[in-house]
Amino acid sequence: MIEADGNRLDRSGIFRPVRTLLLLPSWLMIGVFLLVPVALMLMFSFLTKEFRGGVIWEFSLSAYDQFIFDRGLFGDEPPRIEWTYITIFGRSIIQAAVATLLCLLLGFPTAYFIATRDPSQRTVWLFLVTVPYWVNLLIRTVSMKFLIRDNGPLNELLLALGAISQPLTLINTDFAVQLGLFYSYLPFMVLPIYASVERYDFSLSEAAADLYAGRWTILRRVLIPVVRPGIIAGCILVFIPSLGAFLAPDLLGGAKNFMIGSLIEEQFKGNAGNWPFGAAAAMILLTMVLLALMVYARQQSRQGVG
Amino acid sequence: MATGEHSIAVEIRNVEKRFGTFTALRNASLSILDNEFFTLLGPSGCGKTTLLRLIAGFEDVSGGQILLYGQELADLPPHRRPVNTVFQHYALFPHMSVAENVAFGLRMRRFGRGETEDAVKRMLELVHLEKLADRRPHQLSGGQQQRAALARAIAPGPKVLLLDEPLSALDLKLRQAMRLELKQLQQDTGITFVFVTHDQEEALAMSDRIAVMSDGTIQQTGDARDIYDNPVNRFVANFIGEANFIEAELVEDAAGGCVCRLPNGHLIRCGGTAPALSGRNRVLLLRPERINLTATAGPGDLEGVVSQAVYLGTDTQYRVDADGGMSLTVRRQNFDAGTARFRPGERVGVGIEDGAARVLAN
Repeated sequence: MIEADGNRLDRSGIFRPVRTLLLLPSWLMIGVFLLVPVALMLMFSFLTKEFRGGVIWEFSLSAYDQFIFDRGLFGDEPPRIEWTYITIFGRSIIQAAVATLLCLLLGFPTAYFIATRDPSQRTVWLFLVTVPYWVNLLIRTVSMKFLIRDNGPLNELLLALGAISQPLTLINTDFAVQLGLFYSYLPFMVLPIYASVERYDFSLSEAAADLYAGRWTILRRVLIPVVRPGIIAGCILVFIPSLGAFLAPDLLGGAKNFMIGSLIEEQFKGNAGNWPFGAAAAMILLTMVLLALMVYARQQSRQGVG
Repeated sequence: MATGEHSIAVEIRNVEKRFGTFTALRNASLSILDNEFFTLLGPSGCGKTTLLRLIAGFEDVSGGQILLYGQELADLPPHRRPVNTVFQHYALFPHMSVAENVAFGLRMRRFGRGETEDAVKRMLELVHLEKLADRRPHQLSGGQQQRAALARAIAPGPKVLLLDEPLSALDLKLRQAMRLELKQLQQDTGITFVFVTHDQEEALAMSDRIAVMSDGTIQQTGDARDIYDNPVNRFVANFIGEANFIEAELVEDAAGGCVCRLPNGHLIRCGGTAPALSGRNRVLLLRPERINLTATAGPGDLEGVVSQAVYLGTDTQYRVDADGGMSLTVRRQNFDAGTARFRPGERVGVGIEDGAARVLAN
């Protein structure tokens, strides 16, 4: 029986027990693939390291301590701030930010171009954007390495054109890493922006032009603010995987362009690793990303009200 | 600039607009006077919105000229034309408050901060939105959005305001109220309004003058009464108001009006100036409210049988089969309980006054 006040039906009009049952797969999915792995990582970060990889089941804060403090070779000196990992962290943020910016600079015009084509052509253009991504990320990154090496095709082309007289050293530079990240995640920028621009009502641009706004003003004051959710989504989708990436920095950046992803990866590789330390670094990364997203979400909701 | 009582605000000279192989507008010529409420009226696809977009500058003309107070507009992009538009779906900027929307055009024209604030306040008062200045467009009702769009378009002080079916998204009651408000606003501001609509009632209620369009061509330009009483052709007569069309034969053509013979042999005297046409076959227009019904036919009346009677509140609409094979639509006002009513099957007298019928050009 449905009670008089109807509280056994939720807003969507589905009978409550049925609703719970219908939601079960979602909860299972989130639980198994999201909550359990994160909980495992969190747990490992508070355990003691075993020297040949793996962990000893004993509570310890040493993984976090090692990330922040230097206590000397034997751990008996007064603690000093350990800058190595913080530097790697900072560099990762900068590299990811530059890659995101590059993606935005190319992704926005691309998305705009596709969204303003005839509807029948849009699918073709979107398809073309995604084609390179059918190839495995590793293979694409290795190919990039081949293309930009000192005597690779890019340098040969520039030499032949007379644009340069000496081959450019591109490999093992910050730029190579940024280029690699940019190429890895470009579609994640294009697709959300495309979705926003496609829904954009172009009579808004006409209205702005009608009210004496020139092209740039329309772009700055109307188009970009209105499609901003798509731009933000694209930036998040590029920035976050870039921050944790290890293929591009490893293959294109060499040893001195170590990023946080490579640092974590190394802790779990072979016998030399340090699982709790890797888990701790991963948790620190995750916490920072989460905090940044929360600050952003709060700002958004505040703007929505105001 | 034209001399005389009114100067010409917008002059359309032989304007053509083609989209690929489709011709949206052919050889359109119009003069819209300063300070006038001018309406472009026609069914969808007649080219009225295209003409409006050409004036605003959103489209380029394929041929001809558009002049604004004597100045050729062809090379001016929309943001350099001193005209503003009220869009059909308002196109309010969703990320700005109502006040910011209204201020947009003023900011673009580099008005000072104080001046902008004053103008925004004045505009919002004009459209009764002063209390909703800080709302976002999506927090407004349809009628309020409409008024915000109006305030935004009027704020920079355009010489000409273009309105693209601005009432079509509103419900009937609101639409009727907005008609009066719009007309009032036009009179208060003294801005020339160019109003696009497919709703003939709207056009009749508000306009100083109307251009009736169909198939990319301007059919007739004139004031409401002129267009209703003296339509140039069958399309115009049919589009504005209801119409009976009767095939007739011209018997006598005189300066005071012509006499035509109806298919049943009856002679009627037509009003207005009859167009000069060759041959003797004519099409007559007879408005349903100009036909009288009586219980017994008077001298000179037709006779017929009521085949249908539809009560419409203020009026009753009859379908009468007149003797001789003519079917006529008749509208009689319902004054009070005393007004004669006729039921289907009843025999009635059908009176057509001298001058009630008009001869159409085609």
